[in-house]
Amino acid sequence: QAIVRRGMAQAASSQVAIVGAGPSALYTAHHILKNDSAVGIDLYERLPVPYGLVRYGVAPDHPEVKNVETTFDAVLRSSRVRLIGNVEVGRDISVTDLRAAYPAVVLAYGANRDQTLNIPGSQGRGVYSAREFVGWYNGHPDFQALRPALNLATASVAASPNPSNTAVIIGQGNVALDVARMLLSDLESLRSTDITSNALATLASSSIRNVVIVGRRGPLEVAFTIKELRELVNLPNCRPVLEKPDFELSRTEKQYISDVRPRKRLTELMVTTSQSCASSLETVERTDEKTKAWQLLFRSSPVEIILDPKTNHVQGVRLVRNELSGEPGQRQARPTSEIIEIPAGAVFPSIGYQGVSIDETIPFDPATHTIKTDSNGRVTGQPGMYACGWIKRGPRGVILATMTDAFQTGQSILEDLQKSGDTGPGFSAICPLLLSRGVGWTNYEQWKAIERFEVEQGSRLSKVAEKVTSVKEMLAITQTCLID
Amino acid sequence: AAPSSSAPAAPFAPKQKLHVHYILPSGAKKTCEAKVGDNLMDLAINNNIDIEGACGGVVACSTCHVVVHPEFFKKLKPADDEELDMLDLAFGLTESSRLGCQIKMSQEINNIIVAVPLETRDARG
Ligand SMILES: Cc1cc2nc3c(=O)[nH]c(=O)nc-3n(C[C@H](O)[C@H](O)[C@H](O)COP(=O)(O)OP(=O)(O)OC[C@H]3O[C@@H](n4cnc5c(N)ncnc54)[C@H](O)[C@@H]3O)c2cc1C
Ligand code: FES
Repeated sequence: QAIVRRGMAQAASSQVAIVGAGPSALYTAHHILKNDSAVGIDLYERLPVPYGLVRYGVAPDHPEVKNVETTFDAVLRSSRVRLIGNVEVGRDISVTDLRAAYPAVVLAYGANRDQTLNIPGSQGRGVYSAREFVGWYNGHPDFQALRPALNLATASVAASPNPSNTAVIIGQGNVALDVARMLLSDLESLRSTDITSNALATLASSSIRNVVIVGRRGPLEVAFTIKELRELVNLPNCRPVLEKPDFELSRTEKQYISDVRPRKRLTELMVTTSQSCASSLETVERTDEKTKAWQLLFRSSPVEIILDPKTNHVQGVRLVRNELSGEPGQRQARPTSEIIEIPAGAVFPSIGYQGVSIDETIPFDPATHTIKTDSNGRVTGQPGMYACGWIKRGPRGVILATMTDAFQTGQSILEDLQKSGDTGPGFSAICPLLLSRGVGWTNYEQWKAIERFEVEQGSRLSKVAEKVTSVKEMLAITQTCLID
Repeated sequence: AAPSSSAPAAPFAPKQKLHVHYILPSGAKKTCEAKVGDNLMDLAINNNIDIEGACGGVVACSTCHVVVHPEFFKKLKPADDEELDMLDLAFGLTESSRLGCQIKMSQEINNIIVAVPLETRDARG
């Protein structure tokens, strides 16, 4: 079971251990490689495959975003970098083990939990957190059991919007728009991507035609960015629904947006769209049965997910309408007494990812679910410990933000190492621990074997790749590659 | 046939070298030689200027953000929505910001001056 490879023999000057092999880890390594000619870096990744959310978060129809993998691969190919896959820090080895072996330990393991929606019914069938759903269509081994039921066309109900063809997404960030786009996209535009075949088949049988995207505040507070909104606006065979009154902006609101260009362009796109679009899902349904639709519903917070008492399956969402107070952009939502109900057969809470602590010795902020650091990535009160990416800054921001942050952390590490000149036994001290605990690990070549396998499987199906969706299967492939 | 006066330059005519002046975050200036059609992201990377170009020049990141000298900015073909959408995510966005990968060198913008912005944390949303 143990998969030992050349990793053991290779004695580089192991100085930096990074927990995780996602964008923040790889950009930290990139910065160190670029600005120092000797430091060796070991990446400990829970899965046999690297890239974190670039592989398992970024939507399959955004292949251009995944071009960052070119740089990531160059990092992993470096003779000074070692990928140690299939090792979960906190389970297989501890942070303390790593600290004993390396002068610098970087926590770059992202945010791996859901912010939970604590309302009645949120445990019902047909409720899928966006994180699970995204992981599922992207082939993440943790989420393959999700099997979302998207074909809801069982009972034909006279309600409008019809619950059997309506999904509600709770939250108005980019992940929410990703989920909406996946539910509404033309299958043709997904077929050749690396979405799993299983997800494709499920989406092909989906009866969902309407998606309501709910935000607790107004148009000026949405968290999504303009590129993602524009994609939704331009989706073929799909119509936006925006209620005009939401976009009658006051003088202060207009002033607020004109001060910030991104906010201005984003709001203007919504305003222009609202001027020519349908005003309700009902009108779209009435005019054309084939057309799909999405709606941005503002000033509403879910209070209950209504379940069918017999089947425990979602029937709809009950929402309270909010009133807003305060300065635009930072307005507070306060519930009114007005309640609305949206019939729906599937609900996707998309209210955010959340970080967890993997070691009790690390100072962790329970309010923000992030590791406590100074602004340059040094963990508070723990010399030799660093953090970057979503576990440091919280689960928001595109790869650019993650990269900038990782470069800063990389810089701190370099400065500290240059000052102290410390080195450590590194992997040669960790390796016996893993062996004695019966933990098998994988390396870069084995990841490349998995990647090759995925591309080959994909080409048979005229897809970019067909991902291997179980760790067991991944390990089986890495073993065949050894025998070859 | 005899070449008319409006014909494109003969292929054997000496290629005119173009120049790009990068102002680095430190304030130092670095001048690079360029050819017609070179883009300012690739050119920077080839000259070891600290620009990332994470998406490889396909308008899917904004790590090639540069601030263009206004004199040259007005000579550039205006950015399309796609580019503006990406620029909106850049740190330290200015009125004359562009994506370096979308600026292609030509005679008209020879000696263009662009600043490589310092990625400050403050600008992060
Ligand atoms: C759905 C979604 C879509 C996105 N789309 C885009 C987009 O289109 N464009 C864009 O620019 N940005 C996008 N982002 C943002 C981008 O993905 C993040 O900025 C970035 O991935 C954060 O990097 P990270 O390294 O902090 O975390 P992650 O990417 O989560 O990487 C963490 C890594 O650590 C590993 N790990 C976790 N726990 C352990 C452990 N205990 N031991 C060892 N390893 C561990 C994980 O397996 C993972 O590989 C998207 C994010 C999401 C969620
Ligand atoms: S390199 Fe990504 S947008 Fe220019």
